[in-house]
Amino acid sequence: MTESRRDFGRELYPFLHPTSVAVGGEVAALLLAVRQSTLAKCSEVVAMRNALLGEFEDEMIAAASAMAERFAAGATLLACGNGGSATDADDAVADCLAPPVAGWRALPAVSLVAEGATVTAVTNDVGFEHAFTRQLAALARPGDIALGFTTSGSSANVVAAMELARRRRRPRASRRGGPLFRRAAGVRAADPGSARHALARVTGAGAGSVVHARRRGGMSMRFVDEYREPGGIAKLGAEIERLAQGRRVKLMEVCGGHTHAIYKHGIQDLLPEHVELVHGPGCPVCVIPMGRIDDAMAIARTPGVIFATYGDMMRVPSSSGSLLDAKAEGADVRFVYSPLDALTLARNNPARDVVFFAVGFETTAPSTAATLLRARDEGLENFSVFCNHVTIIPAIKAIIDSPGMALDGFVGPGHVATIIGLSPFEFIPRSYGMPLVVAGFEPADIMQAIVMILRQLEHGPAAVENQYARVVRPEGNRRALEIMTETMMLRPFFEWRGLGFISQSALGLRPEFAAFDAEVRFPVPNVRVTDPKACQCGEVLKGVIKPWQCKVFGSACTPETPIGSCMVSPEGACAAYYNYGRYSLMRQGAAVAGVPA
Amino acid sequence: MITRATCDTNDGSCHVCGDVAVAGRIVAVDSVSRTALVTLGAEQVTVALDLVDAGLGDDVLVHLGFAIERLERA
Repeated sequence: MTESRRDFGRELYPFLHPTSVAVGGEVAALLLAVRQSTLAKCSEVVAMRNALLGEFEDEMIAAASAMAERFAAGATLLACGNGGSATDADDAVADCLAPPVAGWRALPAVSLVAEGATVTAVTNDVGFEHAFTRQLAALARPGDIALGFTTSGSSANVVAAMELARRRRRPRASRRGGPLFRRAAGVRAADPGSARHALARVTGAGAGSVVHARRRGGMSMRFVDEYREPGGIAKLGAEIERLAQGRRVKLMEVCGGHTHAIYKHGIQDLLPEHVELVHGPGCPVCVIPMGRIDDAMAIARTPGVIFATYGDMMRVPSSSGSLLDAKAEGADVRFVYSPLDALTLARNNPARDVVFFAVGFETTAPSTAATLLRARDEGLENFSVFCNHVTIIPAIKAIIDSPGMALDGFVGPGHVATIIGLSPFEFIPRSYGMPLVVAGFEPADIMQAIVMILRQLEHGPAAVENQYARVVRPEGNRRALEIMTETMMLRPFFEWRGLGFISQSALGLRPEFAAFDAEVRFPVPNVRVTDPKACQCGEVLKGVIKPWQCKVFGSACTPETPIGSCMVSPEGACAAYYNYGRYSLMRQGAAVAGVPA
Repeated sequence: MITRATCDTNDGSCHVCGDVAVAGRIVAVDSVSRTALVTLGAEQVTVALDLVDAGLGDDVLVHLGFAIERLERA
C-alpha cells in the first residue's frame, strides 16, 4: 500500500484508524474477531455448498441439462429475486451476457429486477406479488427459462413469477428442474442453525454451478454423443475426401431435419468443395401451397372453432396475413405440440369445434391417424382434422424428373423411413441408377451416409442402403402403416409449393372418417394462390438455386417477415442459411468462384 | 430484445418439419390410456403407445407425443 493511499483511507475512514494508541489492544481483538467471523462464514458457506451439492446434485445437473437444451434452442433466461437474491439474479444474468471465461458463448438473459420504473409501478398499482409477473408475462416465450431466487422459498412475488412460468410452460409433460431452488431452501429450514445470509450466498453459488454444469455440457445423451465425437467425424471427412477425389458430386438431402443438421453442425464445411449438398423439399411447412393457409384461416375464423396447429404453421403467410394475424384479430388459434393435445382441447371444450391442422410427411401422419382412431373410439363429436399430410416419394420423383436436375445420389429421410421402410425408395436406384442411403440426424450419421453414397458411386451398382439401422427396420413400422391406411387415403393430386400439382402425393381422410374431416364439416374455400413473384422457393426446393441466390433473400425476406415458406421453418433451406450465418460466407465463396450472388 | 425467429412451440426447430424424433426409455406404462412415461434427457414425458409394441424398460423413438419405433437393445 502506498503512503498516499494510506492517508486517503485515514481521511475517509477515521474510525478504522483510532487516534488513541491506548485502544491498540482492542483493535487487535476486533481484528481477530472479524477474522474469525469471516472464516466461520466462509466455512459455513463451503459446508452448505457441499450439502447442497450432495443433496441436490441430480436436480442441479437435470436443471443444467434442461437449461442447456433450452439455450441451445435459442431460449432467453429471465431471472428475478428480492434484495440479496436480486443481486443473485443480476449475477446469473451477468454470467450469461458476459461469460466469466474467454471463449464461452454469451447467452441471452434478462434481469427482471433491473427495471426500476416497471417494478415500482407494478408493485404500487397492482401489488407486490406482481412485481415480476407482468414483465415475465410480456417477455417470456414458450421454451424460455425463468430463474427465481428466494432464500425462504416463499417470497410471494418470486413464487408468483415461478408459478406463471410453470403455467406457461410448453404443453408437454412435466419437466424437472423448475422447483430446484425452492427445494434448496429446504436445506435451511431443516437446519435452523445456519444463517439465512449463508443460504443466500449458496443459492447464488447454486446458480453458478448450474451455469457451470451447462458449460461443461453435463448432459450425456444416449444415441447422440457417440455420433458427435469429433475424432470419428474427422476420419469420415478424410474418407470422403479420398473417395471424392476428382469427382464432382451433387447429393440431395431430402429431409428438412438433415438440412437443419447440416447447417447447425457446419457439415458442408467438412466436405471437399466439389461434394455439394442440395437441399430437398422435406419440410412440410415449406411445401404447403399458400392457398391451403388461406383455407386454414377461413376455418380458424369460423365462429365457435378452436383451431389447433403446430407452431411453425402460425407464421406461414397466406395471401392475406398468417394464422398469427388471424389470432390477433380474435380467431381462437392454439399451439399444440402433439395431435393428442388437440384431442384434449376437444375433450375439455365440448361446446366448441376443435380443428387440428395436420401437416407433415409419413413420420407425422401416423400420429394424426392414431389420434383419429382415439377420437372415434371416444365418440368425440367436436374434433376434426384439416388434413395436409404429404408423401415424400412422389416429391422425390418429381424432383428427379424436373429439367435441369443433375443429382448423383440422395441422403434418405431417416424418420420417414422409420415408418415406410426401405422398399419405397427402391425405384431410385432401379429406374434412375442413383444411390440412396437412409441416414440418421447426427453429424456422423450424415457424414457416414455420404461415405456410403460415394462408395456406391465408385464401386457400383446403385442401391438403397440403411445407415440408420439402429432405428430403421427394412420393413418400416407395420402398425403405423396399418393405422395410416385405415384412416387415410391418397388424394388424386395435391399442390406443392414450387413443384406444382403432383399426383397421388398427399393424404386425405377416408370417407368412413368424414365426420372427422374438416374439409367435409366446414365450407373450405379451396383457395388457389400463385406464389409471390419475387419468391424463388420453388427453385430453392428443387435445388436449382441456393437460398442466397434468391432476389429477396435476407432483404425483403427474413425469418421475421418471411415472403416464402422456406424462410419460415428453421428446417427451410433459406432459414437454415439465414440462422446459421452462412450467407456472408457463401457470398464470399461465390465472389471467389465468380458465381453471381 | 428477444429476437428468435423460430417455431413458437418447439425447441427452436420444428419437430414436424425436421422430422425430429428423440430416443428415450420407458419407465412406466399406463395400459388404460395406452401411454407410457418416457425419460428424454433430463425430462419425463407422456407418450402414446398406439404405434409400437413396447413395454417397461424398452427404448423408443418419440415424435410429437407418439412412440414411433421401438429400438433394438444394444
